[in-house]
Amino acid sequence: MQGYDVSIGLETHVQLKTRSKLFCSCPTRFGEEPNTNVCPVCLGYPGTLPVVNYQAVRLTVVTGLMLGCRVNLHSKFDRKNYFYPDMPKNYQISQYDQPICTGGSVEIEVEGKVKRIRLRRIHLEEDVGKSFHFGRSSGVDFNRAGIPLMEIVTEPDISSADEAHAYLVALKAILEYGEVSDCNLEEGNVRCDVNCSVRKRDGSRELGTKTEIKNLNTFRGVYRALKYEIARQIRVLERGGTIQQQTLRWDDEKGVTVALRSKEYAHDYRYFPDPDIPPVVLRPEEVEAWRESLPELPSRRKRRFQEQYGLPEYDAGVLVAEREVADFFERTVAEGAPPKAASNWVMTEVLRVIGESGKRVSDLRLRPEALARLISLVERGMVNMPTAKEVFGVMLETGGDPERIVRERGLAQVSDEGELMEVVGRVLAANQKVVADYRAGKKAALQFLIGQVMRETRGKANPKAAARILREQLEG
Amino acid sequence: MPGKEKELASKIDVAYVAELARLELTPDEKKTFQRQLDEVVRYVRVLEEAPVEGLSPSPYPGDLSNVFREDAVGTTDIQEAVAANAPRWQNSLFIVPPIMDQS
Amino acid sequence: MALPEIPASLRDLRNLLLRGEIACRDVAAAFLQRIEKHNACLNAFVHLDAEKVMAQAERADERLASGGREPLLGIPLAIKDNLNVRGDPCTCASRILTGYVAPYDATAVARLRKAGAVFLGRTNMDEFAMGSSNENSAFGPVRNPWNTDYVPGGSSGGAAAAVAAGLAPAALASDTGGSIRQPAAFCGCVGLKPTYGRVSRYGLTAYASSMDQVGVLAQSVADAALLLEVIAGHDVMDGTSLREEVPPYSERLEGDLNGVRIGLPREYYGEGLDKEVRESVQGVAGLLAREGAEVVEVDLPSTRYAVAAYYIIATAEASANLARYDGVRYGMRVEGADPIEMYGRTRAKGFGPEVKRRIILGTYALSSGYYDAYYLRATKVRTLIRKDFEEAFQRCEVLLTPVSPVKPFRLGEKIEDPLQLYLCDIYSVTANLAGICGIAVPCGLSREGLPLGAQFLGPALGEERILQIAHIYEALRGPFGSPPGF
Ligand SMILES: [Zn+2]
Repeated sequence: MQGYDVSIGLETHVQLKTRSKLFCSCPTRFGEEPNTNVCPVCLGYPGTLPVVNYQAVRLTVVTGLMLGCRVNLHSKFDRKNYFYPDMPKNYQISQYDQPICTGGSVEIEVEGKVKRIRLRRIHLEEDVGKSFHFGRSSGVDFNRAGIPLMEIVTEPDISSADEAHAYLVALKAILEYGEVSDCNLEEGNVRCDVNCSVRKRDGSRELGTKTEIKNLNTFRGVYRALKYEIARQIRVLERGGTIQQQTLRWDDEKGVTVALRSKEYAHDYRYFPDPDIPPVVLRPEEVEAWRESLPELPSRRKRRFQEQYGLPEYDAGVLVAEREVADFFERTVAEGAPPKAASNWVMTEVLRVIGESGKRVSDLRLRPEALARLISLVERGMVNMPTAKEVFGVMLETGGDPERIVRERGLAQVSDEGELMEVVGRVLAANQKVVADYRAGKKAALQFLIGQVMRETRGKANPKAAARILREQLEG
Repeated sequence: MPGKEKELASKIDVAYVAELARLELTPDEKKTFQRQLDEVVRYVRVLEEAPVEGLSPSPYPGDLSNVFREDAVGTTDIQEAVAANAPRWQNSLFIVPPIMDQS
Repeated sequence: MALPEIPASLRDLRNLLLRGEIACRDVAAAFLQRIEKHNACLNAFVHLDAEKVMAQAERADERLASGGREPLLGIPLAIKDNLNVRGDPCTCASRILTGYVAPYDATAVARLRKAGAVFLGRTNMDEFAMGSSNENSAFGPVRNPWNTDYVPGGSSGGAAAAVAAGLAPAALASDTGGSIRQPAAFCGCVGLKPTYGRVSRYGLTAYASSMDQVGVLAQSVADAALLLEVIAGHDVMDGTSLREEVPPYSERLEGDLNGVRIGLPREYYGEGLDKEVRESVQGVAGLLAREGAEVVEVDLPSTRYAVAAYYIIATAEASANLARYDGVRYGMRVEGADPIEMYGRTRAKGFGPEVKRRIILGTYALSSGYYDAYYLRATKVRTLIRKDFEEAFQRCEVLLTPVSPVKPFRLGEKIEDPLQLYLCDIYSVTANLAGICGIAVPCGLSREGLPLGAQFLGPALGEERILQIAHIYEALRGPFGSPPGF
């Protein structure tokens, strides 16, 4: 916005990829009957105790290592006290003053400009239950209660909705790369709280008043909510008003932020160390071992794709955005497909299918080795491009083998000299006038004749071979 | 939590603290607790005299650290007990009065 | 039906059962009969299902017949009402847990069950283990079997009264600031608080997590040792449970006192200690000295901060631990227009006054602006107290102290003055703050004919030694006797 500085900070809650919950052995499976993935521990039954899932600690450290954070060898869990019906114990086990990671950053690129968004901290905590509202009552499902979340908090370095979106996309790519989270947005794996303030660019150093938008669970929601909220705050200031410090929610249907109707009750979280959970003391060798087994991150992989496969920067960027897509591409190349051809197929066809179906690459019936063989058929002139796309469609549906599809459906390109000769003979005989035109110097007539050959062969003729034979026959 | 260390009040704001703790008190309870707890709070100020400078706190009773469980899924068979224990239960949900400030 | 005489020691009882001279169901029936006769007066049990007890006893008889030799097979035990037993209520003597049925066994309970014990019923207590007179119970006070006008101590008052009066041979209970040792002293039985982490807390309804410890009340040190052997040991469900091996305590009781150094902490014999209590504990020291022990004076200078530190840490933890009683998932509920109103009303009606006081105090100690001055400072004082004990145990093997500075007092005598009651916890809370072990043994009777108790404190994991010394003392002292009429 003209004349205003915008400061945005994000708190992103990411569900870690564990089989069991943070403090009990209940499964983390999504979409089950309410209150079935529960036990006395995650329901906060009297007498139960939490025991920390080691995998959750490891994944949080791995995240910190990927994001360049400082890993704190000493950390502890604290109780955050507040009452809410979705809280089984009415305190949440979280980390207050000794989180597992501090510092770090995420690199983003918006309109060609690279920027680092600094991180403040990453801590581990348990998720709460989920409530449903029926007007005169509410219902609570505790299946989600106790699922491990890491909260990634940025500094207020983000200065537009576009940057916020780019940050989330970049963060998601990294988290997927590290296999620390599935980042499945539909299942609520990634949820954001957003802080936002604006300040007139008039030399004053005073920060603007912040508002907080809670519980956004899509990246698009974050983007739209911020667009709206920034404009709203500027409008208020332009009219000479002041911004109220408040907590808002985003109404996606109406496209507006709304103040939460929270009664004015005292809030004081009274954090204190959870005496049930002895502190976590990581060994430096342990952390070093994890550092050594870190996966290649998207930015580095992009560079490698450019260098190793000779891909243009744009292609490399598109391919690495999602680890699964990049993996798929690399496996296709490893199966023998030329990199540029593989890149074209993945970027156009595979990503189109994913975009249209909303599926993940791993959900497709298409295997990289099958795609590599299809590309090989094209390269060897066995099928032409339109036929190859038809075969690709069948492969997606049936998961079948490209050669077999081509064979069974009679789609093989006709390059056979004798067979083509016969067709050409028939076409020439049936189009005496066009042949005469050609011979009289109307060279464009050749295209019509090629078209006729293709029609006769129902598209299977190798167009180059057909043209050559036609020319030979006409001129010979 | 660790806010600035206020002047230690010799009185406790019983009404405010009870609200934080979600305890509705009768006027009589408020009065009695105020008197009794003021006395207790005055007494615990003996802690101010303890020579604790430079000592680290012991929020834990022992010196244990790094107690973890493996990421393994277990089973429980408590569904029926959970439903039976719930004060109100419908369609596999715990029913509560309407939550007003939902998002 | 004439029921058999039950031998006083668990080992004798076990031998009779193994030899088939008595059946588990007869033993169970005998205790049920005693409970039936005396509970109306003592109010020691708050929940008892006679049919269930007899069914367990029958099963134990079948096991015995088929060669089962579990260490506690057929032995009835009472369980304090804050330990979860699958299928039983577990109210913590609070209205707020009305209707709650435990869906799981506490680890200590599961170990007793596996060892063949028969669970007699649930014993009365101060609500959520908060109190030292057992007057803070939703089920009404427990009475001291030695004189029913007197309190039995608390919070495990029901368990202590039941064991002292012979309504149960022993009981499983919990000790957060003296809740096993002090009622043991008041009722004239043995009360053992193990080292923090020695017995799993899983299934013990939390009061103050960093100090709660499961232990036992028994009629003798040997019985206590036998039970500890069964319930102690590492548990994956409790992150604070210790991994150290469990020695066979009951086989290591014999020994002599030659060369044993017993420390008397000066601060435990100072101002405020009742004269009769002092004399009887000094009598214990004299007796042990005559048998070859070396009695030395030691210092625990931070004792004067202990009650304050204990009440800040315990109530702070309790304020969070008891937040879960909100009417949503189990227990009692009073409806409201919204959740906040429901919470306020449910907790107003569900909790008794002492629990409310402690929740308020603990909430205050953690609240913004007061955390550093109260909670944080108290945890630093706890560091001091731990250091005190570490130093003292350099100079002696065990400490000998009174359990409580006062003799058993009359019902209602102190109920209006919480601070005075808190101050009486001075000699017992220190062990919980430091996480060390302690055992209370009866050592005399007051002028009024009420029991007085002595306490042996040992360092962390020093159970073997304190059991041994307490056992030797017990033998020197001779039979303590039962309350008149029981
Ligand atoms: Zn669970």
